[in-house]
Amino acid sequence: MYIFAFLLLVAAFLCAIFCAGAICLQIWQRQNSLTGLAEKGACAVAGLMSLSSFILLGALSSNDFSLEYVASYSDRFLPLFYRLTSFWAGQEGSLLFWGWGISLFGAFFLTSRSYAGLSPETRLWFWLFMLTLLAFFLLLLTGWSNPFITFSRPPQDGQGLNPLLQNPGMIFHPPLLFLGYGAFAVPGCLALAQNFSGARGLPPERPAGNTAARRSPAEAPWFSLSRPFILLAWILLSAGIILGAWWAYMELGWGGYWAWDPVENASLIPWLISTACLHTSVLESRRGLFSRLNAFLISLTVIATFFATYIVRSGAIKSLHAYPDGGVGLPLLAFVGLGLILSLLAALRSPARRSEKNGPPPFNPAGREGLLFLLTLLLLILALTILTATMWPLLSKLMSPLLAWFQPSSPAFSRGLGEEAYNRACLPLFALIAAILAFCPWVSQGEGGKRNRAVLIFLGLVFLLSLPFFLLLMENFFGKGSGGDIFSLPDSLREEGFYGMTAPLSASASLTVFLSLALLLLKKPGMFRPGTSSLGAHGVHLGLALMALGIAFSGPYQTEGSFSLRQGQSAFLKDYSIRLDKLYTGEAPGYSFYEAELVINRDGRELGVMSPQFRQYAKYPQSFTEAATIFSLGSEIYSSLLRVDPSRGLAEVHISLNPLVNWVWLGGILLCLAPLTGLAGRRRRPAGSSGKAD
Amino acid sequence: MQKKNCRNLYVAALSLFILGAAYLVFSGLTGGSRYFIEVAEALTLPADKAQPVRLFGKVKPEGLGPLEEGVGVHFLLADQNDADKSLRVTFKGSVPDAFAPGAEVIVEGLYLGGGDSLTAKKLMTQCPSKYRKKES
Repeated sequence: MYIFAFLLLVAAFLCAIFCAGAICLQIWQRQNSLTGLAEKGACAVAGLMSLSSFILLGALSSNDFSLEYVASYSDRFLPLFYRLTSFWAGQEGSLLFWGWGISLFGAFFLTSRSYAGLSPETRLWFWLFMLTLLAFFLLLLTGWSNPFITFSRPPQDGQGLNPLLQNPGMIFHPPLLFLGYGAFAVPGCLALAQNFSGARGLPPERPAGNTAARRSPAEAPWFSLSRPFILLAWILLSAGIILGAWWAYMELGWGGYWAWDPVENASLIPWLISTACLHTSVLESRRGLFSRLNAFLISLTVIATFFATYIVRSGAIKSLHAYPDGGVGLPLLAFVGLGLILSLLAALRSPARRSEKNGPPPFNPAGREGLLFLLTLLLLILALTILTATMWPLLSKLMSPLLAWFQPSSPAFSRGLGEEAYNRACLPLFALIAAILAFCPWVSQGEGGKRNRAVLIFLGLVFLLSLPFFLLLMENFFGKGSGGDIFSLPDSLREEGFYGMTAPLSASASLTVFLSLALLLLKKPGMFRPGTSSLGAHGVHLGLALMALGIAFSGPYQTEGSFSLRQGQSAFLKDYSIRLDKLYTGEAPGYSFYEAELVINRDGRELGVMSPQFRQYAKYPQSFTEAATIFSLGSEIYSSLLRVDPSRGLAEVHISLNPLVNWVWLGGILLCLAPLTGLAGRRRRPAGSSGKAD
Repeated sequence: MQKKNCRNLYVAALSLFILGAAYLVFSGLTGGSRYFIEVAEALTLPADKAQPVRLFGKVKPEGLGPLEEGVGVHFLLADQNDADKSLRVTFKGSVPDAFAPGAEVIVEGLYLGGGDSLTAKKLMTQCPSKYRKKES
């Protein structure tokens, strides 16, 4: 059975290679008679990959431990739901899942109206890139990363899924990322295809020297044709990243949600690039600007997803997630290099250049397009900074001879960057982005926002005046306090210098965004009508502002403490009292646990009871904590049970107060849901919205 | 002429903006650099001054125990390739999940070259990787 499943993958690989080869030949001969073959080939690849995926799912659901993959990531204790999600638990399965997703997205695009509007040349180029992409996945799956390896002597039970990974957050985090990565393949391949075919926006008559384009009808630009895929991919990627952060917060027991680990950064880089691309595509669709940059950015997003996988899977960068090189590192790196060359070539191709020469209005740096350009620039600077910082251990090692020349006494070991360095380098730029979001809607496209000058001045004043307010609020209510003298320099500024202003800057920018959107709602209610694309954009910006506010408070102003408590004893953290009411033990399928009942009081008022657990799983030598929280839109109380000494009736608990942390999740939910309104109303824009404030 | 002046102004403003952002990034990053090294490499660091390090290693089964006072742990951190080379690590704070003998961990702290111990400011266990190392 599993040999058959493997042969299906081999057949899919051969099919993809054959079709891609045939398309190459057609393009070389300047013909397009094989478009149908390419489409059938893509469907066949999707069908074959689906079949082999179902076989793997069947093996997981039936606990067939003769398959090495099932034995490695599942066991008899796992409920059916977790067994099925083990599909993407290992490298082999996740690559199959990702590739399968791309093939299905490709097949789905084939049935869309947008695809029907493509010229035969663009179709051929599109399938060339798509099938090459699929062939690469199938090469990995039939070579270095085969999910269908069987045991000659199957074990009685599998190794199971790590308890930390048995959590809804972690179950959906990887597939959302992979589906997001996969969905970007459609616009990425389409952008390359249009630039190489030269059919975009061409008039039906024959341009000099281009026989292929003679038969091509004028076709809409790639970002318009593949907009649902771009939005869907962005939503999925955003949801995957936010869910991963939430999982870290709820499951790892330290009360944090982002550690700037290379694997976390790896998914953030494509998100930043794709977000930059979304903004340049607005400029291109409305003003015909930056078409080459735009095409390059969407291709770069796809390449960044592969580079992210290289960081995760190659073992080249040491991280908290440090996966060993499963043999796929080098092929991934080669693919990234090839993709980069191709993207640069595509961006430099003539169709985009021609459309720019055909007379888009001149770029107005003082208008909204100037701000959008700055926003794009900031996003790209952030992506580059995070990429460089992530790769720094490798780069510093490579550059060690050069560094030794400057500092001969320093050993030639690799150097890396800590969390503080990332925070100091990146968070001010994020705060600046939030500030731009507040002002951007009020700067007109034409003359630099003269008509909205009063609103811009008002927002500027709010931004500036709220800065000291937030600084004092944060220092006196959430920070260490400035000793009661509000005129003394706050601790954060004394210790951190300029960087101490980052959190108040983010909070002020968030407040200004809220006000800006409220004013927009009053002045232009039509822009918030259901079905309008601007509703989605404003929803995303509101979500981002909520997240920025949550991060500004919960990041630097978390208060924590660890306490040893006996039953009935209390401890104090700021003005909260924590009393251990009960400590008991219990059994659940696959593990035993201790549970502490902690009663939280503040100013004599009971806020609630938390029940964190300390678990010992049958198959794992180490213990695991299960955190508990008391939900609040102010300071959320977070507890984990670190250790239990039953002989002395002693429990060690870790408590943290996380101000405004739930605003991060609420903002995240809004950020992921709001673009869905854009998907629904993509062709409708409110009347009169193109003027001063959309 | 006026148009040209305007363009120069914009180019200057953009250059200033990029330079400002680059300065922010550079000054932010340069403060937080540290060695990312194995235990064996740490043992060869010069003993002239304490340096911030991030060490990667494995928890040895022997010498592992809770701190006598407060929450924390002390253990021997062995080199991943040469288990004979190790450092005594003391960590005060919440011990992360998945910390156990044989676990791959990361510790951060100030280390004086040539010494045999380190007081860690951070202790992290490596993620319960789904993409596990294949048994050879």
